Amino acid sequence: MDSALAVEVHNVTHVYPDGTRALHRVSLTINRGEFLALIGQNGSGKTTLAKHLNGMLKPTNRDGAVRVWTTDKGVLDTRTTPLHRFAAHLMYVFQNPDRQIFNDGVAAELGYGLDNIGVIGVEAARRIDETLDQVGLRGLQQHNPFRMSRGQRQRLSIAAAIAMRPAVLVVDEPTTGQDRAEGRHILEVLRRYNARGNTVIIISHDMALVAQFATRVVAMYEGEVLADGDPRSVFGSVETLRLTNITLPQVTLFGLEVGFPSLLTVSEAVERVVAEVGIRSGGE
Amino acid sequence: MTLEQAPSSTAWLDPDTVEPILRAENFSFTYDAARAPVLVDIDLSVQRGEFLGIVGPTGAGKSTLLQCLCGVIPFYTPGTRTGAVFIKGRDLADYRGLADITNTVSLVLQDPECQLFNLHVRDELAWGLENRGVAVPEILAAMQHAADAFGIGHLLDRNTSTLSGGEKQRVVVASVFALRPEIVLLDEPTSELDPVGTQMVFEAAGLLAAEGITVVMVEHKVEELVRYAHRLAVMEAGRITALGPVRDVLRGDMTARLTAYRPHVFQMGLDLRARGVAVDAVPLSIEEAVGMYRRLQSVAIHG
Repeated sequence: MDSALAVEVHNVTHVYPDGTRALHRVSLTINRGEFLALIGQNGSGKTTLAKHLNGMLKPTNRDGAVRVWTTDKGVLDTRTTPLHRFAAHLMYVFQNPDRQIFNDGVAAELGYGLDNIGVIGVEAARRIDETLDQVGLRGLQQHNPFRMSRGQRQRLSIAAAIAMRPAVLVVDEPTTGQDRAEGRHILEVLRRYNARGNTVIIISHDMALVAQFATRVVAMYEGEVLADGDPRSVFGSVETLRLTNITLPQVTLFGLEVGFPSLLTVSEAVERVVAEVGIRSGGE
Repeated sequence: MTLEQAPSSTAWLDPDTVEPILRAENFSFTYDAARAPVLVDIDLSVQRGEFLGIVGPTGAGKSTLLQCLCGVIPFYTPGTRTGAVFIKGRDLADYRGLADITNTVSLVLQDPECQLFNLHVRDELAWGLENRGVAVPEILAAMQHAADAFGIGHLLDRNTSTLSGGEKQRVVVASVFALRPEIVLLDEPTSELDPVGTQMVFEAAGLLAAEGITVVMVEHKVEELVRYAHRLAVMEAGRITALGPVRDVLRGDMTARLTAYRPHVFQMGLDLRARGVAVDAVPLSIEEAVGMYRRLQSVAIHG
């Protein structure tokens, strides 16, 4: 993996105007090419942290800082860089697509962002078609987003971000409102985007998908980072995670019960069981 | 109610034994202005006291089906219906209107915000009973019972707008419970909730069933659903494509799109069997998976 920096969160505290302390001295270094999942119960600070990454929110403490490394514009500090300057480098996709979508046509929704970063004409049309194809919305260019299903609107808002080819893509709850197959499909789309060298950061409650797709898991609790590492080590720290009310993936819990720590997927579980008990004919 | 406590009676597997409390017969529905029907040839019988789970991709018609089973369609939302829906043996078309049905069937929506409208939890619980003209002492008793059963006694004086998502949804289910309907339909009640809130709502639905109320629940979280449901229905493109005891449905031939609905431990059991491991019963829950492994282990040691 490329060890170049993508985002640096340094000592960030965030206190909302009503006095709620959502983040407390959070530091996190995110490298280019990571597929990072932020997990934690509602109110643990995940979304607040994600909104700091492009300066939608700014640290409320004096020494807190968030910096985004770009390939062509140097290092952008969220305190001093206007929000729109981040668009080409780091895109944030809201959990609720209806907070994002505002055009009355699918192609127009993607075209708006592209136009803003100077991608127009044939290149814009090509990117729109290619991106809609990736997210499974091919042929819906002229549809009105507000007549599409919630799942389709969610994929549209992700497509609008991907079309701009940001080096860092942040998606808040990509699978909310999706059925099982759609949720998996979206994670596949994000994985392909990640495989092209881009950094992908998701916030998710679906631990089975996190276990399967993320290369790094950051667990938040009461505004602080509770655990940080690859999925196997984070999901293996059962005692630490107990605080967070996170429900581990089914096969991970099964593995912990029978003494195979850190199982992440069904196929891993099958191999492990076969290795332990062997294959015998018979059964049902 | 947990899996272990699930009733062993399988009376509802034989539709001829008793008149089902809820029945759709060769039922199809097309929304006004829609080109194609959203429900096609639905045949479904639900027995009194049964907990039926419904899964399927978005757009399969699951929500529409629930609305057809509680009279929202056709009494509130119009469209073209063919075939029939029977509630307690009476054709829906013979009911006088929604008000005539709500004493029997209640619908819980995905978003509790759509359903909560009183300022305080206490008023929310009393609202439906007051509307029915129930005497005050009875209302108080019903409220207390619902509050105890759903563990929301400490929330009674809270402003509903300050509750968490899981608490809100639990208050909605408790309010429905206070009305003592015979059938409760739940439409993805946990989709916006975190694991704690999700657990609260499934426990609440399990309580409804344990009290003898018939429950039909549309839900994507199959791992939780199969702990409570007696039968599972799979819907695709407006049709019921599989219906039966949970294990049979999950084991059946499934399109790639639907295998995503198998709980991971269930898939593990199927895959182990396919590998030649002598799995006696494919597990539905983590507890069952552990039991399966222990039995395999003991066979491996003792031969």
